[in-house]
Amino acid sequence: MPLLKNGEWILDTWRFYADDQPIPSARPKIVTLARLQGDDGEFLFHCGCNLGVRLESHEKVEELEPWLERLQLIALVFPKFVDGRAFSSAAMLRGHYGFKGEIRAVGNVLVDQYPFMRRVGFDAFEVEPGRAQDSWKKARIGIGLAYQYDDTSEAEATAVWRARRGVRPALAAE
Amino acid sequence: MYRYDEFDARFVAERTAQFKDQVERRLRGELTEEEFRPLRLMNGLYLQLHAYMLRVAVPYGVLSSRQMRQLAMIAERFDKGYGHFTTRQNIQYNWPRLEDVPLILEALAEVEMHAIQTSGNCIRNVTTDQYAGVAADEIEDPRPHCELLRQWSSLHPEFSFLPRKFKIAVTGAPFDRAAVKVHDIGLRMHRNEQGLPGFEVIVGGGLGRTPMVGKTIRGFLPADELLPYVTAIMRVYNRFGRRDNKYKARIKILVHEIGVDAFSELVEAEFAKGDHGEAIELAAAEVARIEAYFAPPAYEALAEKDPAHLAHLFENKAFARWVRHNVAQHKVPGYSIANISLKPTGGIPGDATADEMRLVADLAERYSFAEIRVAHEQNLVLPDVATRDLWALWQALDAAGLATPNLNLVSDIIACPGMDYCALATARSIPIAQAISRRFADLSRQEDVGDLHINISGCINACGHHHVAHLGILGLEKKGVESYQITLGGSADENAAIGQLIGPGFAAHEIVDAVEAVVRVYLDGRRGQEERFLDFFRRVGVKHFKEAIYATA
Repeated sequence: MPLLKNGEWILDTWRFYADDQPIPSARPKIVTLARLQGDDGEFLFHCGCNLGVRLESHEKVEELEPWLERLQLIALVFPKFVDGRAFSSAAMLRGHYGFKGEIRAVGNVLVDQYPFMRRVGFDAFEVEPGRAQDSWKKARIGIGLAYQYDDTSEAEATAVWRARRGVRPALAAE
Repeated sequence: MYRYDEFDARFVAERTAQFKDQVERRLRGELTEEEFRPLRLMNGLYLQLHAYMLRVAVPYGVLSSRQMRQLAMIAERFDKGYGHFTTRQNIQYNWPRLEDVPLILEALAEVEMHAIQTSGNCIRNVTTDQYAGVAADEIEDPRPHCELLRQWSSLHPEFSFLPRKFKIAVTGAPFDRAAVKVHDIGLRMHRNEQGLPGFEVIVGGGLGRTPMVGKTIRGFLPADELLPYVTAIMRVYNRFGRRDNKYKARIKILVHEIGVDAFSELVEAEFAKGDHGEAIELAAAEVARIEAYFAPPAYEALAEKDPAHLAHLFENKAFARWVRHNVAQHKVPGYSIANISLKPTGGIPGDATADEMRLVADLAERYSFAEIRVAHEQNLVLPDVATRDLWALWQALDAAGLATPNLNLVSDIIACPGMDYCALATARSIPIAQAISRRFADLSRQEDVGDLHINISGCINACGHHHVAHLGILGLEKKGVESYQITLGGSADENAAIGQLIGPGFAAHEIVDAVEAVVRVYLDGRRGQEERFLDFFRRVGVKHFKEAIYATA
């Protein structure tokens, strides 16, 4: 599946394993929340490679609390593009929990949602094959300006209210 | 009023350019209608029964003369010469061609307007009291906070794919003209003991198929905590609101199903998680910046009473009648709030022609500091008229047929577009409103009846707000025939109530008689004229009407 990360198309080194698939020991893997919470959950962290979890849109980020510091990736599922719950999940992961790993959008994600996703903290996008990859790169243009004070895509969007005050966040004291 | 700075202008320009590109791709066939749908909805473009409909946002109902003239130009050049003011304080164009829509959006952007978020499952245009900033009973002007909410909710990254649409209404006055208790979030301004302004936060009101009066989850929220608190509400809704059934997806269903206490706990827990220091600071600075735009205009120091005005009142009955019904008290001595009814006898509620829009723009420029308001009752307001100018204003309005003195009377009817335009409607609304208006054309009779709000919806989605009318009419379809139900006793003010059904529906040719019968029951039973229709209803109850209406049928 094509993966867009930080504006570039890259080779995806991660692989998702459904609950009925056996897990190999040495490669970055994404598992379900159920598997993480199961009897072998703790064991998954001890095989010396990166671990990620896939959260369905109805599953709550609070469930991940015990493992957040040890997870490198959280994949948030959009079963349909109109199901916007993952936007809140991403915003909470970056905001409340300060999660620094990769937050990946998977499922039915539309190119027109890209600016919104970037701004709540998604940094990787699994795009269904056949979708025009060019238009995904162009979608970056749509970010432009943001009125929201809690925007997390500082590098790409101009936070209007801060700009009006002439304050650059990291340099406010100078 | 608020003016765009470079950022606001760029923001709208970028969106306009983006949608222009999307429309061109659609016209070239690069986008299917299915793919185009969510994109056009984000820009207020609906596909209706006969044509596209473009809904333009009028932020919290405030328009300048310049903007009104541009709306007139659009009506003339791209529509059939008129526009339709809605219960959301917006304006709709019912006949634009798809290829013209980018041009219309560019014309709107020229006057700092847009159609963003007038549709779709996002936070819609924030609405408020049409007398905001000038009402005599106001605590503080709510418009700076409306503008704050407008900016904050514009393309909000987290809340643009909500379970369902989301409407926020704000009032700064104790007498609620903004129907805040029947919105997803209603904000009522209060002062605390230290004299600081804040908001009572009301959640889960709404009309539609499941009408509900909102519930208070915070009695007093300091004004500068508004955005973090609203964010907490939105987040709880976005995460926990139902998505399995679009008819159960509004926040009112969530609040109802889990209970207001549980809902409130979720919100407070979410609110307590964050450190809102930065949000409060930025919002406070932004509100201070916005407030400067809403500084009062250069009012003259005038006496409360103008002798010439009093003489005209005495000499001209028609003028006196218009003043009695359509003019409201202004907070500044010597000034008045003038309502322009868009409900002439037999007219289409809320419709205005390009010529009428231009005339209103001119009169606002001459008499009201070039400012106009759109009321959710589908009327227009000139908020800042010197009382001594009312006579000249009235003459100009009267000459153009815009001085119908019927505010809050039987013919001041709110009606949705109904089957004449809308793809969802199950019955016609406009012809019923027109028929009632003609039946009660006699103004003396309307005055005798007094305060009686009639609202008409052409389907259960209730865009015509029939649930909160003193006399509500709901048009349904029964076996291919239109059937109109009557509800009584609803109210949209600070004592909001949902109307009660009086019984089986009436055919289209019976409904006007039925309305008249309801009015007759009231006139026969009231304790004098000072007992208003709503007071009478609350005293006698729905059963009294039911027996009287159906016994004679």
